[in-house]
Amino acid sequence: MTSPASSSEVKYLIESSEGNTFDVSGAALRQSNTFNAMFLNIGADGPIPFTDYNEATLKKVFEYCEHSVNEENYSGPKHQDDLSKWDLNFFNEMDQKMFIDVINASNFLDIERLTSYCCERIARMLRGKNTQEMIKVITLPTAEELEAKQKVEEKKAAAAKKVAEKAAETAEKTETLEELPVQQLVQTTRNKLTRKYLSFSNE
Amino acid sequence: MSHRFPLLFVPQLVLTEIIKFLKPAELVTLSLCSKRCRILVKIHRKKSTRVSIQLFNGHVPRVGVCINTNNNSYNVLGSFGGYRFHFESANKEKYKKIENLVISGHMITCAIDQRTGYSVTFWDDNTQGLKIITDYVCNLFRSTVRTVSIDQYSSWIVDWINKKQKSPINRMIINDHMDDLKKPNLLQVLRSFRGTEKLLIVASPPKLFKFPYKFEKVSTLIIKNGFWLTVDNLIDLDCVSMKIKNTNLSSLEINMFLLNWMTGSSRLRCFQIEVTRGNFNEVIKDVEHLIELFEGTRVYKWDNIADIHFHGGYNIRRDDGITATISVGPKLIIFAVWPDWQRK
Repeated sequence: MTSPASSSEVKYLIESSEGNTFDVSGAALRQSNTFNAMFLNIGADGPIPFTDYNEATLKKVFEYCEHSVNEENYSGPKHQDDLSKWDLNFFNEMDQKMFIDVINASNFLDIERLTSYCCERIARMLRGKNTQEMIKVITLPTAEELEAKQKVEEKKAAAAKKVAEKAAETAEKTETLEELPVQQLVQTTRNKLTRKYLSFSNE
Repeated sequence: MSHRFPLLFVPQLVLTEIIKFLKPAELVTLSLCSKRCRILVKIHRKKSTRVSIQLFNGHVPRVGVCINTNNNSYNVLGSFGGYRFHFESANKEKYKKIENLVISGHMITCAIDQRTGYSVTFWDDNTQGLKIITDYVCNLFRSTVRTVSIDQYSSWIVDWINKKQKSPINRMIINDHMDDLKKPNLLQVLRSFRGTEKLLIVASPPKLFKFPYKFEKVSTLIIKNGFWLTVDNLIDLDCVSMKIKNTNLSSLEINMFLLNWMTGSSRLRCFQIEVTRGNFNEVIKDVEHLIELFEGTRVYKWDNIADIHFHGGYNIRRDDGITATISVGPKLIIFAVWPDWQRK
């Protein structure tokens, strides 16, 4: 799991949700408070399982950690305008899904700096917007969408009601049959057969 | 990177962090997006005693949020009456991103003021509108109204706030937005003020205006047009610092006030009063034996007022050992009790 040499050169194996493993430097991994709390003192025998996140996400997160290893200690969020070109490229390269995954992973791994930058980036998306624009950004359904959704739900409910009524009717019929005692059923059938036989013999 | 983000599906800690980055006006706009958004903003924004609500009812009636940690105040929502005036005239150009939304069950029109950048709401009845947005913002930030700024048409605000909340208004500004402030209104406002921190009267009342009652206890009193103030008003004042301009007080009346301070019954720390004509001998009448000349420069600092600079003056020592400095100019009398705010 780890290679010897100096502590800064220690490498840890990380396991992703696909079961793939890759290594990350100890210095980068130490930016994660979750890692510090769980493994730093006791160590890990095999690959460290971060199996809630896929390989691409974890690699992206640790790419950031590796890059910021030599930066000064984190002292509160930086303004986005102060971000370096590398930082800006790092964020701009991500699509929406990757961005969400990175935030979630960063939150789980408790990497303050990365979480904070991501959050400020989201806050910037909302800046200067009115409610309609914010609704679009945060992907809330609009009033029309809600209305359409309600109509669909009403239709579904009506259909379900019809099915339920039919089921109730069928159940009622079955219940009437089930309610007759077996002996009575036998008697009724026997009577019917006798009547048929008599009519046949009369003919 | 995409400019969309499913905000409501992120982990709670991340949501709290995002909300921390949003400015008060953005939080209000976000809260208006949906009921769930409103609850999220309310829950994730920590309740803090450092946050107070400000209510300004002047030329632009608006609600603001003051965050004391950085002493910044942010306007978050404005309220205007007269929908037609704003949208069927040239004023329309002043606003952008006009939309209809629901605040506390009221369907209203909202727009962003191009000049100030915060959202303004439009109501048929502006009084009702201001009440609704104030309640909304107080509820959202889980705070109370501490500062009000009012004009002649808004004396109802003080009564309304006093009924609405237990905590008193800390700061009140009575504006001169309309300079024909009516006498009964100012009387009513001053009588219903239960303030504790600061009272700033910018308004210029009618010439014959008098205040025959006792002022409420207040730390700082600033009056821009104090011609109506009598020496009885001054003596009755329970105040720590005051700055009063344009009074009709004479040096002899200031002397009466000074003698009152000498009795030791007042918590007064400093005052700057503009008088009709400053006469040193009249001001120090009956305390001549207690004063000594002070030469040089000294700066006195006190909370809520600008620094007071003494260029010479006279020190007065009270029987209980407390020392003050007084300076009498042609029109301005300055007085300060040592030590100052910085214990100097």
